[in-house]
Amino acid sequence: MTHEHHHHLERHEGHALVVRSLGVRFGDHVALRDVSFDIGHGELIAVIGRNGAGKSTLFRAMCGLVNHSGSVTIDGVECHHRLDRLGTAFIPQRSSIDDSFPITVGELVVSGRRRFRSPWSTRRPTSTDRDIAAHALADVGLAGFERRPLAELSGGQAQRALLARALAQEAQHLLLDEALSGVDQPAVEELFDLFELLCDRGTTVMVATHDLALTRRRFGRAIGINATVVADGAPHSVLTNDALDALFGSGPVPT
Amino acid sequence: MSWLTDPFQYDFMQRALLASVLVGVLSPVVGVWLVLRRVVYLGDAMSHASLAGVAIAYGAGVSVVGGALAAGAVVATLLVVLSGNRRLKPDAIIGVVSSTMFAIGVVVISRIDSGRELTHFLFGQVLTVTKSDVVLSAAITAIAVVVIATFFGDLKAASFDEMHARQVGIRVTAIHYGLLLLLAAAVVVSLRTVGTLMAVSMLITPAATARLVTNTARTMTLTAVAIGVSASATGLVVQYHLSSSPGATIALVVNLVFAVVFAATLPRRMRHHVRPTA
Repeated sequence: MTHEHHHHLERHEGHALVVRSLGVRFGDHVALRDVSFDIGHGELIAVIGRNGAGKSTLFRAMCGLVNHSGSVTIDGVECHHRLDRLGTAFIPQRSSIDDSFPITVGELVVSGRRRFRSPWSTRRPTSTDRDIAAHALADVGLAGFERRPLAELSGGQAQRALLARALAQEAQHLLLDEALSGVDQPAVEELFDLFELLCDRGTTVMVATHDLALTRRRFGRAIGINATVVADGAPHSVLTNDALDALFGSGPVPT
Repeated sequence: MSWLTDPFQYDFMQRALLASVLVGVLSPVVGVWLVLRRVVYLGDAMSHASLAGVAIAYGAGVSVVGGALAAGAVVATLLVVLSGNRRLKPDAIIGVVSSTMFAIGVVVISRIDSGRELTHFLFGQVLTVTKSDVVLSAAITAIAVVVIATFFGDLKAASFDEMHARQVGIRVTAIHYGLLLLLAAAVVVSLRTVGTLMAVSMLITPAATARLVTNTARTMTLTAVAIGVSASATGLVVQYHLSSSPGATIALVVNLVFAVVFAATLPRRMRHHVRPTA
């Protein structure tokens, strides 16, 4: 028993993200059940599945934005509340961002710094916050974009600005929801160069996508989701006919 | 020049000017957030619902302002209680709640009074504003403006990307209901001036006009206040010379400003209509 417990702890310490038996229900609808996986520091992972398979629900649950059963352990700490997970950033897809909202790129990115103040704090961003935001923008190739309205950015630029917000948040784990849709090919490649740079620094990057060719080409690992984990491993082993059937087929989800 | 200054030789016009200017400050400051959060219907709903509180307080002989604030709190509470329903979106619930409260208001007032008072509450009676009305409005406006200025950053974050705001620890739900209470306060202040029916014009139109020409929430708020204040003052002068209804005249002036700005910015928006996709 003691030995088992020790082993358990060690394993958690070694991993950036440990998800165990995670489940999400919306009323009678079971969105996710019994989802388990371990993710190491610096891994670049594709989360694949059809629309409605639960990819984005998984990310939201991992960030504590929807109620879930099971456990999420981040850097060895089991999370019970949203505020335990401030180092994990959910990065929304570009199309879910309100284009009509008057916000500059600088305001967007500096809002990531809010995490370092208390929930009721009324302090404004400091010059240090603004410096960090400027560095984050430079990291994603948008140096000097602070005063530009967000609505004027292209799809790839907007996605990178959202990434910069997560960097300003000093998030160690980035969960990107369909980050690659609505972004043209050269911009996709630029994003991947950026992901690889971040992974080299030890950041975990998970990207929800349904682009299988891209998954094969640029990810080291793929997790297939269809309400639960149906495949997990190197892309070439995950993207087999059987696994694709379970992922995208119309048949019942295997139990 | 005397066309502008003549009206204000009377005390009641000076008080009316102060009351209108306060509406021109507070309503746009709150209205900016209704426009940005795409919940403009809340402004309509809150101003209509306030009539129930006003009517009951009037009938009971207690503070009409207190009645309107209480009605605002009732609307906010009903929204919390009823919005858990999965089949109905909040806008449908709000439609039911606000029309019910508006009807209660009309029924109560029509039982007490032949209809003169009803007209006053519906369309405002800015020319009969008392000194204590002005003081109370000024106090409410000052508090609401300070609250919004204090929480401006979080209000912006929670309105733009609620999920991210939650992620970085902002109390999104508290901000949402705080905003409903501020809306109730804005409606209270505008009751006397433009009345329940036209309160929404001061809430929404200055903010919508400002959005056409600004790129940040801060400049949008400042511009909306400038529009609100100048339209209130102008409307008041115009109604003096036309002998028209003050509330409706102010509403027409501010909507005219919108029409002019909308037309003037049309070519620019057409140019930006096609956005880059790369």
